[in-house]
Amino acid sequence: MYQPAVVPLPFMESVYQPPLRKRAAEHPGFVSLPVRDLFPEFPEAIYCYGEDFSAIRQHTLRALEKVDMGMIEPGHRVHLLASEHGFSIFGGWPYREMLGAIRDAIRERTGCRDVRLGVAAYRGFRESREVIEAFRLEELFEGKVFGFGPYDDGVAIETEVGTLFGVKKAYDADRFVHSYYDDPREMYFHRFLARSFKAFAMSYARLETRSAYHYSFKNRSSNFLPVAIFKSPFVQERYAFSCIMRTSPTGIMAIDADNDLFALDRRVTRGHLERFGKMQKLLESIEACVAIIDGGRWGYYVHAGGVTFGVLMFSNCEGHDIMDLDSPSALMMIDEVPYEEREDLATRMLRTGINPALKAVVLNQQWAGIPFLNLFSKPIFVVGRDQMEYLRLDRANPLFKAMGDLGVIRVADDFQAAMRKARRAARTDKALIFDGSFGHLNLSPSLADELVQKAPGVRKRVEEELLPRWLRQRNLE
Amino acid sequence: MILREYLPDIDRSLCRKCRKCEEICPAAAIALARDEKRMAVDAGRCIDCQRCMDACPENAITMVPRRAGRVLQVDLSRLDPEEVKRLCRKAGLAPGEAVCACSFITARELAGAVLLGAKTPEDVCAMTGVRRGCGIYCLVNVFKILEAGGIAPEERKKSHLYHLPLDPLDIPEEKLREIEAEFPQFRLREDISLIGKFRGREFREEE
Repeated sequence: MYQPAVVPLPFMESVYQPPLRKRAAEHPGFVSLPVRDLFPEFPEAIYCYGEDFSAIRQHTLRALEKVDMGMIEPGHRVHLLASEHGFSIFGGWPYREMLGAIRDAIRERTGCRDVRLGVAAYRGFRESREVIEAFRLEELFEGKVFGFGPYDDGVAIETEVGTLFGVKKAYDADRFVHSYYDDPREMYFHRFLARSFKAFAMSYARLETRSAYHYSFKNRSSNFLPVAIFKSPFVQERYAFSCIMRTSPTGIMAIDADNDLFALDRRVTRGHLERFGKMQKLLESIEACVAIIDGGRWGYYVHAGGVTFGVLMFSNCEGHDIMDLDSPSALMMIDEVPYEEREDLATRMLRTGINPALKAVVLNQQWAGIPFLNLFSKPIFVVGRDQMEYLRLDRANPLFKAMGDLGVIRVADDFQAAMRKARRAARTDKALIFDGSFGHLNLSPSLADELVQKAPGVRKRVEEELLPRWLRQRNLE
Repeated sequence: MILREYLPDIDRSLCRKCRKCEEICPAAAIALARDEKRMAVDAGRCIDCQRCMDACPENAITMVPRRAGRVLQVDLSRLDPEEVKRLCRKAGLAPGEAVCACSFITARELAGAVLLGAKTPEDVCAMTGVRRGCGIYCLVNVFKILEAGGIAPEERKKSHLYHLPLDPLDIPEEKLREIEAEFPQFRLREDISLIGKFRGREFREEE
């Protein structure tokens, strides 16, 4: 017998999404499957759910005890650089708690009073302000808060592979603290290479650098770019230390801090491969299911058992193992197709590069703004006309409009109707909800049965065959 | 090719001429008017990305339905297909390659824009609709096509963007060896060899 589905943590209202609606897990027909019922060897979380964040504060202060803050002087201006995704995992409040605790530790140990929080955004010009207001960051940081994004003024950063551009406002301080989280989300891009550094080529970078990160290299070597930026004299002159909210599929498992980001990243990567590696392989073993996207922000990044929808979408693609670095890419990349065969790649991308087990998708709620190209090869059912109208105006996804007009993407009046249609199209009643959950999966009982049955085999394969290879490829044996 | 449904409409009573919209417009379709009393929209250049509306701190911009010029496309029939192909090759892109995951604009269209006179990333954007979605990730492909088209650096400086010339194929051998020794896990040499094979080196050498 399974427990009833767990109502997920709430997320913030936004202009990038229609008004919030009833969560998928609140509808009948779903159960909750704890991650530790699948993998009992996973560590217990210090936080997974609820409004008591005291453990986050305690663990942050304890982790910072071993950090050298001697480079921070009382008269300095210090920036805590935060990235907005941290405010969308676990409801965002644990990240806020960690940031507040870092500020307090700096003040107490260095006498420095001018500690400012910088909140990085993806692309929407209102994202940072929304986060700052929703999480009362002005109040927490006594007005010393600023937002920044990829369009803000840049600063040239000379790296060993050439000039890249950071956001001037982010680095405009005597010292900065890399205040991050390690949620692995886009495993198919970062491949568990330098995950802890990614913000240097994304959140803290101008759009030109972000483009180079995604388009100039392949998805193994591209992860050297944030490392190159981090190693640059410009960044090193300002860098103080890193503090990272470390996650596992069970929840927040630790707060880790270090002056040496390379050492911290080695700890993060090993933990990721051991735990998220297993969860990814388990989800990859699903034979057929309906995925339900029900979260704040973009559908790609909404979690189920700590794994994002994007990872399920790009699992099982053309036989690639996302973690295996002998494979140049985790998914079909344009530049792997011989030059002469590169005609009409939009169509090709629609046909390939997506998990064949994903039979239909129900969009209960999500933000617009990130290209979802490959998804349109699957039957999509959007809940509510208001959500559909939002998506039809999404300039990053013109196919929402085109396929909506053609009736390929269908709108259902309510969630239950969308599920009925999706299950009929998918020819399975198995369904998995991506609603931001860590610690458990909200899903149909039939899919829970399948995962429980498969987990021991996945554990054995990962521990005996895959993990040693993944670790060896990253010099982490 | 893109379909443009809306145009920005600026409420002069709310606009404070902070020029944020001008700064962020990927197509350089908004600028301070000559009389400096208002912001002016060039409907011909606007690609309906709606970024100006999002960026306006005064909420002075609304999008209104566009009546004419809804279809934006590069007229490739005016160009020699071989010349288009040659420019794509020089940029290391295949003509049919979708260079922008949001708008599906192809390298052929980018090349067409340059051959028809585009001088800046904003021109390429205004002529093709590239960067209409996320506006970020396809940018290096726009740089590549301009560089392949031999657009002089002083022309490119008219852009609000920073020119980022980074090309993995240009990393010197000595530097590559150093990086490889310190960080073998990134497989830099292997990837650069693949990139060279499919994207650039032999094409450049042919040129």
